[in-house]
Amino acid sequence: MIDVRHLHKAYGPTIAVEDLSFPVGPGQILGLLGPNGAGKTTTMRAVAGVIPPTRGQIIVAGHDVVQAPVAAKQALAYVSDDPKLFEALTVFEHLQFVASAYGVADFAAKAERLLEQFELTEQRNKLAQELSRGMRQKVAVCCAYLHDPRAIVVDEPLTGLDPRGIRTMKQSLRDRAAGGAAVVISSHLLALVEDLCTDLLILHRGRQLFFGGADRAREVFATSGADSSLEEVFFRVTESATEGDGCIPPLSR
Amino acid sequence: MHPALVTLILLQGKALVRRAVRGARSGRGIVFLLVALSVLALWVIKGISQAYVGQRFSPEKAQTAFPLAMLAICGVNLISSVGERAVAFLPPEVDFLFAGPFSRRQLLGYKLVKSALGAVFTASIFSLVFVRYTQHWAAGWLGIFLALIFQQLLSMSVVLIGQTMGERAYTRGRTAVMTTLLALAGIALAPLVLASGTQSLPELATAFRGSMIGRIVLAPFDVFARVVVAPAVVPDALPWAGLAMAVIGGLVLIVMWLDAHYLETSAAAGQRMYERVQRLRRGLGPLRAAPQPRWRLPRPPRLGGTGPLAWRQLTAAVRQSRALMFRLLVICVAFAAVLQAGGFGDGSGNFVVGALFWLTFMLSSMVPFDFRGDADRIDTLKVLPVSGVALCAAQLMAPVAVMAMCQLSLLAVACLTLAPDPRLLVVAIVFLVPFDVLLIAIENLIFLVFPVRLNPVSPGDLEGWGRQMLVFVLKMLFLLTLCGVAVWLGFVASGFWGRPAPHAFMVLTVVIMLIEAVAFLPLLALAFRRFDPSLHTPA
Repeated sequence: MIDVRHLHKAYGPTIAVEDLSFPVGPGQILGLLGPNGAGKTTTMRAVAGVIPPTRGQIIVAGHDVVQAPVAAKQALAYVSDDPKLFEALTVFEHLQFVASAYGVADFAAKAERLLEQFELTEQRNKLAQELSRGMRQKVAVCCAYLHDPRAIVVDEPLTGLDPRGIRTMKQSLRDRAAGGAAVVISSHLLALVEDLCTDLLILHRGRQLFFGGADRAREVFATSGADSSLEEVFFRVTESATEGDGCIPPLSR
Repeated sequence: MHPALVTLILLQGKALVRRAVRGARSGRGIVFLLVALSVLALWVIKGISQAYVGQRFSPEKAQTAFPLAMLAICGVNLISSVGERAVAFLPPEVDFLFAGPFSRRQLLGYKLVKSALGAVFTASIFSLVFVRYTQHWAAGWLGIFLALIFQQLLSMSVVLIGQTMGERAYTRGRTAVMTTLLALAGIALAPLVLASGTQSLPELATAFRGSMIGRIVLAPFDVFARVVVAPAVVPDALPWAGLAMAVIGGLVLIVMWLDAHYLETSAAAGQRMYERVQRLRRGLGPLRAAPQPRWRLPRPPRLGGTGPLAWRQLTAAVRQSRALMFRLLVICVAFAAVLQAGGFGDGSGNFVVGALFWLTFMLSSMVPFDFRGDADRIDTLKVLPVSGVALCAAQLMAPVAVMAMCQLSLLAVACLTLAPDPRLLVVAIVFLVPFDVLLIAIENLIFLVFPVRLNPVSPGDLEGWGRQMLVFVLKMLFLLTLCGVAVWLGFVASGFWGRPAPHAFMVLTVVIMLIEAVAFLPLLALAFRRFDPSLHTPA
């Protein structure tokens, strides 16, 4: 569903992402991990077609994001790490606009269901500027789900959510994946990634350090032979890369 | 255009109306709205009465001035990179539209339509306020509307050309283009200025317009001027409006043709604009600190907490000085040009003092290194082990210092450009600091009592505009009363000498103004103490 091939993104002399390749199939949930500045958000923005890659190819639902952006984006939903809403529009007007953008027929019933799922029904006529951080996140997610995307890219999905919101959000991502969507999430919350993701992509300074199943990561980076937590894996991979500046060769499945 | 983008524009229009209606539900909102409408009505009525009761501006003069004004605005736009905003998408637009199923051209079309709709509102107001400069209102409206669209598209084209050439080449290219343009303008203007002697600004403008370079440079702008001053839409304005639309059409084609890679730079420009708005919301003004702190101020003694607090604000002011210096430079050049060509004669001293007064008001909103800039940090200030009076004194120091420096620069420009009465200059210098202290103290008192962010007011936000007008009037009233009292007391006290004693009057007035400023500190401290961040932090 999502196929990233040799993605390279540079800002002048600064290389944000270097030769990154990974596929995400239907039903998979890929967790993007890495320290600050690793290139996670750049990768997600490139996949979503917000920024063009310097080199490489990104295929979403069979369409090249650069060559056929409209077709690719029709199948994709993107929620940024700090979703920006149109301050003067109401919650429902956001859904109305998104429905129009993606050509969602009979959107009202679907919108109401999503609002109910994310406990936003009472806020449906509130302006975006009146919403809390968590509610804004929920609105952005509702907008993203409205057109039943086949590829979902969510940057830091749990920021600002209350415990109930976190549970709803996690379940909704699982449901979407179970429904056949390819999901990419980025988070610093390793427990969330461990709990939710079927696959991992660990980045460091724009380079791919590991790509594969979460179980394989534990297997490869286990220190004592016993079960290693994702936290242990993460620190071992990134610290080794920092100390040896890439002494761990990029791994892929 | 994609129907969803039409929907978005309609929803945003609806939101604008809703905001005005919601704002007018409260008593304060109604007052702000009424003030804005009254001032707008006064401007429009004044414009209309000047046109229909008084005398209309000569069409020849209007036709001379309009292209020059357009050229000046374009120049300022390009120099200050404001043109980047022309293709800047706001962060919500980036999140929803860039990741949405829209082509690049559809998004550009959306921006163009939004610009055109904004121009409809602006042209409607301007065409009424400046109706005396036109021969026919409808032709004036059409000309102004087309000119506004042209300005937007010209900025877009320049930005897109730059983006196509690459960020690096853009900067260099822009510099080269601007240097060439400035050199051409200098070559064209130099003989005129040298030969002008005491020519006034309108005479100089006419001479530039008559020169060959002037005719070439102003040719595209002249088309719009002819629409503005046409006696009627049909038949006089129509051919020129057609030509203007052809020029606009050409620019649209350029914009559409050069739209490659604009998304990323537009997102970046939008992000910068968003950050600028956020800085304004936090009261930090439109200035941004240099990426690398180059200047470090020495740590002052504690002085009961005043030292470190003043140091913090002064450091912020110094680190934002690059942008401030640029703005000051632009103001100084414009000030010098007006003084040089203004032909003020003996009234130059009065003009300098008057201009300084108004520029001071303008500058005061550009240096919010005080409570206005700390709107979101009042909690932090409140927990400091510093007395209220010391804290307030510290908060006033940085803006007063920066403003005094700017005013002295303007005075230096005035002295170099012409030789105003030295006595007036001495008076201006002597009164600078006490006046600034009073002005900044009043600004801060008003902020602490009626906390409002220094938000830029968007077109159509009449309530916000009315609020700014009221705050301005309040500020003026306070300032004039305090200065008036100081002058009156100084005059009365200097009368004890029994003969005219201007020096004694000046010294006494300055001393009284300083006493007033010091007396303001406990008042400010009280307002600061009463400020409850949970209730009063402006939204």
